[in-house]
Amino acid sequence: MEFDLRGFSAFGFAFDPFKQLDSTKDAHLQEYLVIPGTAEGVLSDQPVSVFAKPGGGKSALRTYAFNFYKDSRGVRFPLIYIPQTYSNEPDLHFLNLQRSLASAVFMYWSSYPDFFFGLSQTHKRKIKSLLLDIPFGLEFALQILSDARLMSEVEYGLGAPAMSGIRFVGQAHRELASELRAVSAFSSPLPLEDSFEILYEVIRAKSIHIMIDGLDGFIETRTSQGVIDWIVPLLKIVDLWQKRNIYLKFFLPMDVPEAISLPQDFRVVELNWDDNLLGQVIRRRVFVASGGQFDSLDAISAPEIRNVELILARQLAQNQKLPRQMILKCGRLLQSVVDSRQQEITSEHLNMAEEASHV
Amino acid sequence: MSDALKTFSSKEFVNRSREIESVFDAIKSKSKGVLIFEGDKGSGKTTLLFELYRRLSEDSALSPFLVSLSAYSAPEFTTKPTGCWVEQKDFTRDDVMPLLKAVAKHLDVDFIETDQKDLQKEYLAKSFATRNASASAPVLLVDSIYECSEELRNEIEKYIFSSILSSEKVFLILSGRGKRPVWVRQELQTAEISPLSNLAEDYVKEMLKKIKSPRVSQYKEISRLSGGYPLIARVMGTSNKDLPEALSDAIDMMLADAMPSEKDWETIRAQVEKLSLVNITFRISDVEDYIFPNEKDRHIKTVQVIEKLNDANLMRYEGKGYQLNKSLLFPLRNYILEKQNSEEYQSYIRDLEEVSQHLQTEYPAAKSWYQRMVPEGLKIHKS
Repeated sequence: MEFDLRGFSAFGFAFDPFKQLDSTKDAHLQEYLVIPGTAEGVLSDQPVSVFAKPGGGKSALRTYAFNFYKDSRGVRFPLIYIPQTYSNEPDLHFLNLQRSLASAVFMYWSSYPDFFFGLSQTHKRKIKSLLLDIPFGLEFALQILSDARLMSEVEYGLGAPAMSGIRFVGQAHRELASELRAVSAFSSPLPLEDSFEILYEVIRAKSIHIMIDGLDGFIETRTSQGVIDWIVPLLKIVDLWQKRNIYLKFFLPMDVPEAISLPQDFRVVELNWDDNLLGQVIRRRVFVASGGQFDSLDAISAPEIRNVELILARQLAQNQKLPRQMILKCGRLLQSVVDSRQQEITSEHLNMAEEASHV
Repeated sequence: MSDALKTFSSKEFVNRSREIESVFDAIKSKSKGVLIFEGDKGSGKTTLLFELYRRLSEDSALSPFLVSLSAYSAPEFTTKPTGCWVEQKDFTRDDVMPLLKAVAKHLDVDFIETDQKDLQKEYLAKSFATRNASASAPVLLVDSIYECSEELRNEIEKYIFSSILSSEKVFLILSGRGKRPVWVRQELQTAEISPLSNLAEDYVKEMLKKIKSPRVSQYKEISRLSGGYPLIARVMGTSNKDLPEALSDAIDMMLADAMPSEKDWETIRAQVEKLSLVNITFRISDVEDYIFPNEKDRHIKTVQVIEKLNDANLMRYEGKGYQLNKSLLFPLRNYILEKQNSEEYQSYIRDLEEVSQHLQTEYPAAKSWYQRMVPEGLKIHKS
């Protein structure tokens, strides 16, 4: 859906706040994501399991949490684990986590290259040993770093986000690549636990937050018991890792919880949405898109119309009361205003939106 | 505006005990927090932050750092060179790096130096995030954070607020007026916001005494006309004109300070006076016939006026529309009430009444809303 420029700039928006439905690619997510009160625990130092329906905000929350931790500049180290395979092979998770960690640590040093040069030789060797697990090999990653001019090229090449906001790749990065090539790794591979220890020892991390997402697809192809079987090895280490400030955060489909047996300290969060919360989802987007000028669609409605967001939320059927549906509905409403060549939302537009809900 | 109004003096500080207590309570009871004082122009935000800085500096367990983003003077703090950034010029983006280094020095944080600018800012930010939490708790006080440019605020949030908030034991105390910014960081989005109330009569009296005003005995009248807004009351207290004229001068001073590049004062003053009489939050189309009656390009002209006032943070959008900030609206309306018999103001009132009637007819579903457009207390003389 795309408003023509005259359309949504006439509403006072700097961008279309209802266009980007893939939250992982949404540049404004940190500014406008509404987190239901119960879900704030996902940002805490605690193992958490977030349950939601597809379109209920799991990936948005996971992306938000990752960026939140990223802002800590390595103090609360974030790691995303999205399974590429749903195999139940032993050690599968640990191998995959080791790879994800290697990519994240590579991106960390690419984000703070000069910090590497001051490390002791032992620390440099440990880092090199850890980085050997990068998918496609360390030399592949170093080549990307050496050739890149922008950090976004490194992110794209490695499929992992940077750990700081730097834009340019420069001399310090070339020197980092050169040093990493020159330093020798330890002869035996680093166990995962030792790799985590490096984060505390060298990066000065205080906690590690592992976010496990991407299991909706699993449910579509296998039984919910399959998901449980897949995550059980991870559940077994939750307590042990929690004692070492390593927190597992699962983002799971709503169908799973009844059969699952979660460890005692596990915080369980269900992302449920009522009309008021869905109203907030829209109001926050309106606030950000209007550059803080106004915080409700009421501002671009006929004088007699109040609480547009609540009216729209109430129009959604019970099983549709999800952020994605609400965002879609608002986008369509504004599109209908643009199409009617009017500059404000009228009762007719709202009536049309209600009729569309029943189709 | 007189330079004296942009100079902090703790001797002239009028009691804000509730606000000061709330800050000390928060610091005592929480390990981390963000407090924002919001208020209109002249409501005393800057003075409160400066006084808070002075008092927080007396606590050895705290490391306060004061940043004034707008030009100000605080001779009392020149003996604390590492703990504040107060200059007689506005803060710009070029000042971000020196400020980061000044904060690092003040908090005794080591950082790696590099020639690459964006890396340097990140390195400083990382050093804040990983600073030793056992050291005294930083309390960063930043004045005028809403009013600065979006680019500048984004840089300050990204490199200073966000990184400092990642460490333990830290407080941010901010002040701002006008529209609320779009924050990225969660702690800022959910910050505790305290609106600064206007001064009660007794405090206006206290303030007049502290500035040695010859009009202390008129404190009740000054309090009523100024609406209790410290800046207006202060200017009235130092004027030797009669009170309505002193009020008018104070309003002019406030406008001049908020819109320094404005040339046509007479016109802008008249437009602001008209808008101050509109008793509802209004949309541009609601007031264009009132501000520019019978003019062909009245819509564009009204948009320009609103934009100008909005940019100067003298107006904000609330609910269904715009409204002048109360620290400007109430003194202006009080002035017009005093002078409402003049032909000029009678014409404003008649025009507003006419527009209100027209809108009631045009939007019958919103009739009761537009009935409230003309404030009570205004009388139209029958010609």
